[in-house]
Amino acid sequence: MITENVISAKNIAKSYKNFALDIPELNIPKGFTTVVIGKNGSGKTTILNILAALYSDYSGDVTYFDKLKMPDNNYEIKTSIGYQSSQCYFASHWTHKDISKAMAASFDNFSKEKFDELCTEFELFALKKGKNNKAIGRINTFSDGMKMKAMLAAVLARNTKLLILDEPASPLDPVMRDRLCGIIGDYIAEGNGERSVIMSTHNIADTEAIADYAVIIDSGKILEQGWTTELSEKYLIVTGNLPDYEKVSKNAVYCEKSSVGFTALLLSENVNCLSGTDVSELPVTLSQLSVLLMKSTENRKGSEVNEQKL
Amino acid sequence: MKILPNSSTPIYKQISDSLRDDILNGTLKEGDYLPSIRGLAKDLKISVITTMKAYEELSEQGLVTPIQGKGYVVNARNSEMLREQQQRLVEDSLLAAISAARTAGITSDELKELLNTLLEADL
Repeated sequence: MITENVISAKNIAKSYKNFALDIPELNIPKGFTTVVIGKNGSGKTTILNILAALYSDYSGDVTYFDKLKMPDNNYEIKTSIGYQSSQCYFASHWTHKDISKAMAASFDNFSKEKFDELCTEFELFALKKGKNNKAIGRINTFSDGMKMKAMLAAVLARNTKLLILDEPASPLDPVMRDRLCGIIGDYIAEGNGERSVIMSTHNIADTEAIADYAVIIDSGKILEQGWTTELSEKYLIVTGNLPDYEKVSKNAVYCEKSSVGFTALLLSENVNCLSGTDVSELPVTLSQLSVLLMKSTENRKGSEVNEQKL
Repeated sequence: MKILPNSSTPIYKQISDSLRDDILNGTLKEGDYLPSIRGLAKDLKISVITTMKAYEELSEQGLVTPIQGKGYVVNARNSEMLREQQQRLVEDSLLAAISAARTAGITSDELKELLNTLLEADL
């Protein structure tokens, strides 16, 4: 499938004391929802912050909206991106009015009316339709979920081309998580192919249904990436009884054995190795795929350590 | 449109089947546009890529044609398509008959004979 990219990144590297990000190539398709999936500490936030043009101390080349680059196009890039971090970036003493003022001062495309509408919808600051300046509450009285909703309201009140959302679902209640999927769907649909979303998560199950493109990362490296429809065909899950374990596990990407049987992640192209076995094949969900791929690297690391010990 | 998220039938397939039925039974007529890809994805709370895959399948089957910048338009129904649809109905009915025959303990030969008798009576 031919699509344009909203961001293309090449040879991205950034290192901390105990961690190095190393991404040879990452293309984010335009007009779609991309999810970045990884464990805690896998580098999700680092990647998102680089894509959001918040860092300058990394090596590599990032192109935005097909032609724009940092730092030359700083303003154009920043106004086109709505960024929500996993930590609340509003000062703790801020009120509804402070957020509104700060956002309006920072971004031309911020709509105070839209922000009020969203605050009403998200039940923040006890805002009611049609009443002005009746907002109550400061950020420091907010729960984590409310802080997240406040950031989402502020980001969505801007007319942007790209949303970069860092773990938006984590602090939200199940109803709001469901609503978040609808909000992202609305954003993409209103853009008519010109708007894109990148979001990170360690719990893909919440947003699996709306994910178009998935990037699974571990220890700063990309384990797998692709269209979700293609990934679900590239792999399959197999469950079976112990007698078939040896035969299947040596052809599997990852295999988990229990006292009564096993579950294996297989590349669909290796499906022939199942002939003569008594196993059940299942299509793989994105959450299963990401968990099993991450476990497969843990195993590899484990065996490397063991080999070193020997 | 009925979408079952946990069905063994992939979601894109459920969408394309449902729209195919709408086209073949005339609910969607020649020249009608399918709902916009991103609009339908939003309404069903599913991914854009899943909807695209469904529409591409319908396009490959010749039921719709993509028009740059406008979406997917329903094609004229041709006789071959209608025949295919009728054939599906016949197959479904025959499968139901076979299943009923199995339950009743009617053998394959008896069933064939019954079909022949009915066919002759129809002439």
